[in-house]
Amino acid sequence: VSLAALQSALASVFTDPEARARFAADPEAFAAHLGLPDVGRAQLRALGTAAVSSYASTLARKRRSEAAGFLPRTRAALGETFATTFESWALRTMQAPGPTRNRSDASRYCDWLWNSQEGCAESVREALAWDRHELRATARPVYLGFARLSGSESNTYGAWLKFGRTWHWQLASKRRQAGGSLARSAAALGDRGLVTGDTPVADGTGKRPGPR
Amino acid sequence: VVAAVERRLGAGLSLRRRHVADVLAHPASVDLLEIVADHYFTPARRDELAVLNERFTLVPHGLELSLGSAAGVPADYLRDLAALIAAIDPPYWSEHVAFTRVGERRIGHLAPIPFTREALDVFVCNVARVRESIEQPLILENIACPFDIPYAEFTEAEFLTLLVERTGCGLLLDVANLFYNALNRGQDPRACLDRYPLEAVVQCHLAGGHRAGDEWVDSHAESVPEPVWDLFAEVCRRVPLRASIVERDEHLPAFLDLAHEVARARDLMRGTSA
Repeated sequence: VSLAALQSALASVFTDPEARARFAADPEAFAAHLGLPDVGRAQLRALGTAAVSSYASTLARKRRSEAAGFLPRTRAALGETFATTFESWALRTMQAPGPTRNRSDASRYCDWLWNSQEGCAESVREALAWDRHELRATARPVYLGFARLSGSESNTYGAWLKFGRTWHWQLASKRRQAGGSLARSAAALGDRGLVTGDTPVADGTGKRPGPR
Repeated sequence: VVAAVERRLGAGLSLRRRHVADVLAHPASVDLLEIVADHYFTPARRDELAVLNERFTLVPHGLELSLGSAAGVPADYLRDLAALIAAIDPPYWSEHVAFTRVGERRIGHLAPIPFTREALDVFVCNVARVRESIEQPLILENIACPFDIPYAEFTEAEFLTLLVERTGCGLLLDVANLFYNALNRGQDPRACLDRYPLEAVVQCHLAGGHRAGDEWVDSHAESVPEPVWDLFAEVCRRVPLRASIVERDEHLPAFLDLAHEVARARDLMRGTSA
């Protein structure tokens, strides 16, 4: 019984930022509120906030690692800032349950960054917009979106048009500024299972690349 | 379990999706592959699994069976895992000395269990339940964690010794986890190794971590550092290791660089007396 209660308390402070804050403010009151037996209260109190914070940071790093595969352009645009901003955000949020939790993390981080970084570089906003379209188009049965990625010599345009679970189109055009020519590529992706959900635990790889 | 895994399997890689094409192109670079079991529960990767199983010895590695959970192991996860293991019939499979769930609540990472009699009884009970569904041998991995749950009744080494005695499981010794745990506790890694039940070790994990603030983190983001190689070499001198696996999740180098680490592990294992 005491192990079950302790594990429940640990799961709470490891994953829930509000519970972690309550624990940091008053470990004894937090343990008492959970109804832990004496030994569990002593264990939790002796564990201390430093250990709990350490574990929470490890979990934030893992969430970042697993969501990164869904955010290739944002990650590239932010460089090293991606890790610090994502982990900072992850420490303040709980991970969604279920097999799509990594995709959900990526999507929620995108939305947070989009809403909180009004003054960020245009290249970052373009990358964010592109990754958001990718995430939303995959998650929704009907979707229409358009985005642009600026390059030093060319611009890449993406359009997302999706109806139902089997239609998922992307179009990309690359305008070469110097020659003025327009190269087009189109890919019908719906038949390749791209509308399916996440694997239960993504390894941060294998996400379908968008149009180049 | 050690006796049940009769043949030496060699050295290999913990497979990530980005490596699949490379290992198929360079099959001689690995003797076996460890697959994350959770990645193959859905039908989407069945074809890939069939191809891999045809060409390589596969060892499934579970992440979320939560063998240390007082609430028991999750029935749905156990069902999927048992089906996967039945499909590929590996020489053994592995999980962690940890808990990852409390009822329906998933932590999303390996969490430490207290090294107490109660936790030991729970773990033994959970392993017994799993054995009703999976007959292939199970080996258990020590996790990386910079702290222990207070008021422990055993050290980690004592807990693992009792665990292998009572369950009959083998050990998957993650040498990097042992190394970084020792550093984070201000202990001598070699002295920690001496206390482990090495006679039960079937397989080793090798990886490289990094320093974050005051802590060492087993992030699988760097090459295997020399002190971890030294500890691994010591393990190879002492026990007839069946397999070793190189893990890498971030800052991926060229595949051939990973293959070089696998080759180094193979060479060290070949120095072992069987």
